[in-house]
Amino acid sequence: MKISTIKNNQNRIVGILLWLILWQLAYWIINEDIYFPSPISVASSMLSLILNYDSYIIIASTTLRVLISFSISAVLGISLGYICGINKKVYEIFEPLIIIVRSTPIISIIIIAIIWFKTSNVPIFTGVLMCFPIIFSNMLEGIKNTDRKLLEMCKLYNVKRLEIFKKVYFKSSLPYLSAGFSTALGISWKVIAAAEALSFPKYGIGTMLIDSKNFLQVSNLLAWTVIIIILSYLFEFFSKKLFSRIEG
Amino acid sequence: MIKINKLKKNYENKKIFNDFNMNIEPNSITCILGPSGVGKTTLFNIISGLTDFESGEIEGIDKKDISYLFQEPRLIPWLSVYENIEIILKNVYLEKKRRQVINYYLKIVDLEDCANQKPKELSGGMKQRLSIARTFAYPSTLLLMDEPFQGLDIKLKNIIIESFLKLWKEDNRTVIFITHDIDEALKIADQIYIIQDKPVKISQVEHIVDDHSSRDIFSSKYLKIREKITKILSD
Repeated sequence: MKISTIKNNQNRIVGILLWLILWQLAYWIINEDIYFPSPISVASSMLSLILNYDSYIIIASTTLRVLISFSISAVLGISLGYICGINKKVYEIFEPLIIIVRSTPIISIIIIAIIWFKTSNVPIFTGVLMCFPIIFSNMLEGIKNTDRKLLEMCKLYNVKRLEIFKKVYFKSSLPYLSAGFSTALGISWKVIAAAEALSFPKYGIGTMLIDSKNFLQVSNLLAWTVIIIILSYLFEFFSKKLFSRIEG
Repeated sequence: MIKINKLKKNYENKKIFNDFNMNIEPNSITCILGPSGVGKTTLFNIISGLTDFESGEIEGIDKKDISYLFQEPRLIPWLSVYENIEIILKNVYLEKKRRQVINYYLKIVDLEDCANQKPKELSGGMKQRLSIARTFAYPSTLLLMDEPFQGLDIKLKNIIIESFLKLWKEDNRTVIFITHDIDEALKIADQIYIIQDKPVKISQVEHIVDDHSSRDIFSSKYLKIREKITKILSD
């Protein structure tokens, strides 16, 4: 097991190095630093971002928006998913709304949010509308797939509803929720950066992406992109860890 | 006395029960013996309130006062042995009393050392014993058992039947027990209802007065009862 983990990590490192070499080769061939920066100039941009105090305010602002929008989505998705899972009538009331939200292009949601909200709240609203349906659907799936025989047993012994939710429905939905959280977290970072880029709040990674584009600082743009990727990966990693701990 | 009067139940346009009547003696073990698919589990689901019925009356049962030993153990996989019993008692006892009750029943079925284990760590027989302990731990006056020993080898079946009888002797609660195994019925039951056909009818009622510990089901007396029941079921 340990040997295979080391080997997997070795393969990953070789893979990353290979792509970095290809990037460097492409940089030499294109030879236009302003449009296509080298990995070294992106790394140096990242270093200057890391050394700059303002970067942390920017990263914290976007992270806070991700956390707020994700928390709202999680609370709404889990509670509504549960209610709709156990009550078909409520599900039929909410189903059209979920379909509409899921099918609406993200750009329409961002533009509507720009009209309705303060610029700093636009990414939160957009994030919620994108993540909530994912968590909702996964929770719903988990509830629907809960073992009916266990529920029958609980009903027979008059187990309280809250206890059934905690000990049966929720635990049985965990694998579905875990997958939903991973997907929603990944999307959340992308959507919130995009919404920031369009709504232009004072602090935000998306704002910095647009700034970098306006000032033609492509290495800066890529450096911020790498930061989003790293943060998104870290959030997914901790989410999976959390779920594996809860699942026992 | 539990009385089932003029019970009517249809399933997919077929009459399962049509004016079905049955009386169950309190504080005794009543066995319902019949071929598979005749409607034995449906009868249990009706008695326990899990299934509706068209018409009829069931007297002498409080729906909140029933324990049900299902065909399969129905254990919650992510809860420990202890928690699997605890979940049905949270609404019944305060924590201290609850702990006492759970430990008491776990001890009777020889599972007190496995309290923290998960069901997947238990053997088939241990799961069934846990299921029996959970059923008895719930303070009901009526216990329904749906083929609880099905699929177990003879040795394990005897151990589990022993555990069951040990628990039953503690409180003598009313037990209705479904099986299609004549030997099981002879070992456990105080009265045996043989049911057949659709709609279901009672073909015969056998009363066994011997104490459980003194029963030799291979003696001539029991062989005669077995032959009689076999004949009824094969007709």
